[in-house]
Amino acid sequence: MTDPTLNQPHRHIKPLQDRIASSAWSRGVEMDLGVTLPSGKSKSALLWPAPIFSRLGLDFDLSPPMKTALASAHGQSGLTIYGPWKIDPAASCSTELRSLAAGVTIAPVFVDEPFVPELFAHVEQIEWQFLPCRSSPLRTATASAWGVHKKDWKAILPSDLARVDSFSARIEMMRQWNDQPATVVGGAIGAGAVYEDVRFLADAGLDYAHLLCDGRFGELAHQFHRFGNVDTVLDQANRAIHDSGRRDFALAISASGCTLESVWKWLGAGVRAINIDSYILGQQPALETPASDTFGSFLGDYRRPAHAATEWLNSAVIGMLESLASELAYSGHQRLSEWLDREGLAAPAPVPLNKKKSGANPKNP
Amino acid sequence: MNPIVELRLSKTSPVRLQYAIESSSAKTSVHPDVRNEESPHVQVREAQGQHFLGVGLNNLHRVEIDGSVGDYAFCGAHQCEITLEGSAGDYLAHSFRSGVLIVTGNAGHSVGAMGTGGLITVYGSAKDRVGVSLRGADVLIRGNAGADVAQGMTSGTIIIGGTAGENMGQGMTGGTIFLRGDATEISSDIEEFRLREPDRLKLGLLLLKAGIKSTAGKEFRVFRPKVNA
Repeated sequence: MTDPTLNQPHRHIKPLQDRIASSAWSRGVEMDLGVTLPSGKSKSALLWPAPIFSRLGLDFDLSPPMKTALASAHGQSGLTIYGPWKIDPAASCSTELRSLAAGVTIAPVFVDEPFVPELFAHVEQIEWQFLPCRSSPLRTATASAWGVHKKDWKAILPSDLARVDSFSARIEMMRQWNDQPATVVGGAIGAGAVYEDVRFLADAGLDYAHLLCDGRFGELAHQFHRFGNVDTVLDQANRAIHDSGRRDFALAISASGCTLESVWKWLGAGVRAINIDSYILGQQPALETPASDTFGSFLGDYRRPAHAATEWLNSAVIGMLESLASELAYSGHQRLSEWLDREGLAAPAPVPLNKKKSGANPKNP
Repeated sequence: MNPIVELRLSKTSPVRLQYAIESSSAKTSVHPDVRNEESPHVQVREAQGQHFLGVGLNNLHRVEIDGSVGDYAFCGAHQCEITLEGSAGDYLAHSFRSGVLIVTGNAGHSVGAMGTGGLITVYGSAKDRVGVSLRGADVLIRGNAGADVAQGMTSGTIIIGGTAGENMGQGMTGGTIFLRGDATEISSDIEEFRLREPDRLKLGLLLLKAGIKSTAGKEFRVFRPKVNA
């Protein structure tokens, strides 16, 4: 098991002389929290503006105010989400409307559903869901929140895929069909037999594994099922990556109890992207007044309604990013990718999203 | 009169065939979801077993392909009439949505997997897992089929003109299998039903649509999931 003390941020703090010389202390210097995810065998990579994402819209049916709040955080804070058709059907996923600063949009592939090519023609990131998600007809217990049981996250392999090489061929087809310069394809698995599952994903040619240490089924903080201990899961996953020989294989993680400290710890353990749903829901945005608003206890009728409370979400994300930037500056680094490199996680150079690969223009193939 | 577009795969990426056709025919006035008289008649030459040919093809009057193709050909295609003069690899017409596909040669495994509509016809034989997880499409194999026919099928129709391999119909919860020859082993999830007049009519229509002359007679047997399975 990984020694937790090895993952503490202070292990990566620059020496005093370097920190004095670092421009990270200068006023007005913008900290770069971007991380890169490698894309296939090519040397290109996809740049995330921040190492955080939310899968709230995928796991259960969000309330309309929460959908709006999530879309707002996606556009303003660079929070990566799943969709956009899952969050806001009116939003377009066309190339022209995409902005790097607006965060990445992940297109989910439900393992036992027909493949619709048009949905994946322009997306920058694709993620296979090896579990029945809310949108999948495989999940039957959607009538009530408490009707969602742990077994609803059971691992599922597509019924039409029997071998790793067939899966590899389908991934390659999706990459070639997509017109993005760097299409990242990953797979989400519920933490169980992590070593075997990550080996399967790495050997099949995926770019990253999204490890679900818990599964959420409601907007309240306590509405989740735990699948595995984060430290154990990361240890098994890193061992699988090492054994597969895929040094470029990345990890994303969803776990409860996400705090600023745990974010640094998980980043240090090799994770590139972290689900902050538990951080968001820990502030109880679904209640009429958020827990952080201390005035709510005695203002009585002047309490803010739920839709106003969810506006807090964007501020919470911004606050978290500022805290991350502050920690990064303290360590003497200006770029998060530079901090990650110290862990031997050197990422390939990112390709700007607006740069098409040759021959990829739909109008000029 | 439909415009004719001729393409050579030596100069076109197989997976981007739809884009190449759109660029060549410049049919900008045609709505992508509405098939009309302006949809082009496409002739594709020099197919040499490339994978992923014709992924997402849509809204085309007729597509004729000369030569064999590789895996995942015509995945997710819809609103097309496609004729392939040759054989196909694995996962032919995966997630096929509508239209008609005719393959004059043989096909690999998992023909028509997860297809939701349309008719997929193979004049030769097919390997294992024909119609695996079929969701409403019709699959016709004129020759023999391998093992695991209709595995996990939920709806649609599978017609096997020859014999079928082991484990036919395992996990099948809906749909119909018409089998002319024998099956090595039939799963306990399905049972044989009497060939009734609606079945004969459906069989005759599908054979006619596939361009096969047949009396659709009594030699076909009908299999469906067990009623209380």
